[in-house]
Amino acid sequence: MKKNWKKNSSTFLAMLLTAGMLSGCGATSSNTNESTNNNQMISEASDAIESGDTADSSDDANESINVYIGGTIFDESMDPIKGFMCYGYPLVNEALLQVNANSEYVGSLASNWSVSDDALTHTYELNKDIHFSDGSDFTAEDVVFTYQQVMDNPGLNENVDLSKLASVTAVNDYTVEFKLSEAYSPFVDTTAMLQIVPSDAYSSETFDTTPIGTGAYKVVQYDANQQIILQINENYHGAQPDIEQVNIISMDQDTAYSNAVSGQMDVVMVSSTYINENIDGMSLEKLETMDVRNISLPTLKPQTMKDSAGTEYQVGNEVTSDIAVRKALAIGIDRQTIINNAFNGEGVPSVNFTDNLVWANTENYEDNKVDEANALLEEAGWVDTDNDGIREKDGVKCAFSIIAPGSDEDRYKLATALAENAKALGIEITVRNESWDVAEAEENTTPIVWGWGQFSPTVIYSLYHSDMFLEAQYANVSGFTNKQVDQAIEKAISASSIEDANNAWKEAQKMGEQEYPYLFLVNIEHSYFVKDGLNISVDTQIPHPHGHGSPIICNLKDWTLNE
Amino acid sequence: MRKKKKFLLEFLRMLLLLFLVCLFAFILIAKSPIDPLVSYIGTNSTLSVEAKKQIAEYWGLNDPLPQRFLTWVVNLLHGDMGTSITYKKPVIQVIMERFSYSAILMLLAWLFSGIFGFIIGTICGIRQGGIFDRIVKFFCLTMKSAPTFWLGLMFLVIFAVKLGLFPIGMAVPMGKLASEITLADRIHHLILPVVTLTVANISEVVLYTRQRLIEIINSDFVLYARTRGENERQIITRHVLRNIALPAITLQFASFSELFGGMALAENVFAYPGIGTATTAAALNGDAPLLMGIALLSAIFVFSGNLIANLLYGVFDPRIREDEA
Repeated sequence: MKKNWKKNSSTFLAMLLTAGMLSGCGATSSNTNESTNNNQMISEASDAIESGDTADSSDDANESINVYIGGTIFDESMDPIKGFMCYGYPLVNEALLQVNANSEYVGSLASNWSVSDDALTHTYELNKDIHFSDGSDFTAEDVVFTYQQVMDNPGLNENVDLSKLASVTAVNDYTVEFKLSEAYSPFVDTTAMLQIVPSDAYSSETFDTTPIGTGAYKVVQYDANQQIILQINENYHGAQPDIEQVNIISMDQDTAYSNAVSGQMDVVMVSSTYINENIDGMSLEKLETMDVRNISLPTLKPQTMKDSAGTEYQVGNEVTSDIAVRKALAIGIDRQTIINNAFNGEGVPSVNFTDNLVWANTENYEDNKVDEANALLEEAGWVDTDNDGIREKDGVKCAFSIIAPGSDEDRYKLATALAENAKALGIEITVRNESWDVAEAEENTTPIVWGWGQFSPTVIYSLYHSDMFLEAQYANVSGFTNKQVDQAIEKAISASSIEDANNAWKEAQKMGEQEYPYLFLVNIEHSYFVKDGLNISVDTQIPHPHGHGSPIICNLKDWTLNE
Repeated sequence: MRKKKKFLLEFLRMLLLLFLVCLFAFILIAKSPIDPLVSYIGTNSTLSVEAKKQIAEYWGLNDPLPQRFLTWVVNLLHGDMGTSITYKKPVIQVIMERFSYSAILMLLAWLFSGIFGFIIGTICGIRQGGIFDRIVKFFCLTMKSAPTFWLGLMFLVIFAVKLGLFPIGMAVPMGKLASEITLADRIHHLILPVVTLTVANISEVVLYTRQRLIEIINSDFVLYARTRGENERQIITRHVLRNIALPAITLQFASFSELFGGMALAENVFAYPGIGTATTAAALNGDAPLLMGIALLSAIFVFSGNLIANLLYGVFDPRIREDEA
């Protein structure tokens, strides 16, 4: 019995060993075959891309491009009901409105829209003869269905806020009426954000990966965390796009860059660290955004305050509560030098929200006025008495720390460059990198680097309205309180026309900025390497919203290959 | 009868272990410095306070922690692992999708590192002190201390970027439709991750096998075999291999946990769409349901590895079997 087992076990081992050798050989031999196959495939593909295979150049049948636009698109559902692509531009699905290159809203699925005098009823006229990629007609019913879905499942959608929407009804096949529970002009933003799904074909499961929409492209294949393959939607209502197939690739930025170097990518998003590199056959595009970085400067003296629920908070900052310090920083620092040091010069100095937004205050001022800033500080009593390069007032050093939160190293670089620059004013800034949890705990006492970039002016309400202080996370953390600003914001929200609303938003910012509760630093730029011969139609690119990566595909349908 | 009892005990042990792993994972996630609401809506969100409340309510973020855990356990017992906040899909679906990729990667790496590790370890043991042995030993010690992702990056830079032999990342060719993808395509994309994981996991088996072999060669019964006139080859095949196979196999099964960890890192480097990349995404997004699901899965996986090792002991070494019977 024992002997038998031994025999068995040795045969088993022998089998294992030979199997291992065989499979090892198998793997290597198929590998050499395979690599030649694959090289062939790559060269065929690149032939197709570069020369267009044969004589007929621009209208070749199999134009396919590989784009890397970051990983976010893979870490979420592609279902608009669940908050996909709520940035104001279309991809697979389209919204009623969309943003144009001047940041204005124009019709997408809707042809025109109007707001009643009491600002409670928004009416949208829809375009006719639009079909979904499955061939079904687009009508008012689909709009009602989409909005109703989000109203019924608000927790599923982290981007669209329908809490002010009371009802949505189809007046006829091509007219939709939205009734609001209170006047809320930013509702128009919502209609550019929420993309419409077909009421008949909608499925909560399949739309996560292969939504059906009216957009220029449709998803033909979704490989989780690898690639999303888009092809032209033959039923698209606009002009047919030039590029037949777009492959959105998921990988690390470094891996994507390596792929670009080896010639396999057509568009690669890169951080500012890479912008001085050269890739053969590709050139760098720096695209305009409306994304700004600012630093909150608490305006209150250190104290304890209560929110409406009675919870106590420590608020305020001894140094930044002095308006002289806040103003001196705003006018005294040299934003261009800070950008050069932090981002290799990528980005544009900004002192408020960017001029390419229709609701942003466009009154800018010059910076790098060191003398004026120093005089301001001296006048306020901040003097360097002990000659250590840092000013003091009543025994308090003109020093504070800034939190660069989360894992975004750009914010850290920016804060560090600012700290270096502020030394010239005799202000000492210590930069701390902390988790968002720590940032939240200290948001009312410590300056924090923020990033803002959205088409909706609700950000002004968030940053400047006194009601937001202590009541909402990450909102009005500077503790800024100004009755007139509050009134202007309320006027903007209850306005019945976009013009009135925008004027009121501008007025609110203008007054708010007088007190410098936020130190605006930079309007960042988004850099991408783009393959020569691929035209990403810079003219029709919208100012990119927050989130480096996907905004470049905002005008995918206008892209052309080998002009 | 006793066997049955043992099996039952083993099963209970597993249940207890799984429960504790889940509880511990839950506490860790709940105490992690990631606010699930914030990671969900983004830090630059200007959603109204009401909308934020609706979201928190929908995902049960306001419930007290013990209640959240209890709900999760009860749902789990009903076969519902919850919905991933990141992917907004049932957790079980996300895991199944991803695990099929990881499973093949781990299986191959596990087999190769086991088989080649054993062979190389044996040769080193026999040629102890030789040049091959020294090189391998140096190599193994280096690999043992090198992090998997670094190893992956090196392989990627050398074999994919510089030499262009392999694709840079992913499990399928870019832009190729599923209908056109061949088995060869898949194998081609598998090679580099598998090699990385194999190399990263081979050291232990090699070093262990080598050490055991040296011990056994110097033992009395081998000396006795020599005096009987058996030659080196006979000694190795008759006495040594059998004795070192057992610990090597046990070790290999017990290394499931390291394999799992290494895989998570390697997948990120190679943009390989397995469970590792899902874990990273879930962790960064504070996706508690998905993280819990993955923790549960990996606990089952590692536990099975150890269980198999235990059982195999009995199969390969009758002494242990008899002791227990």
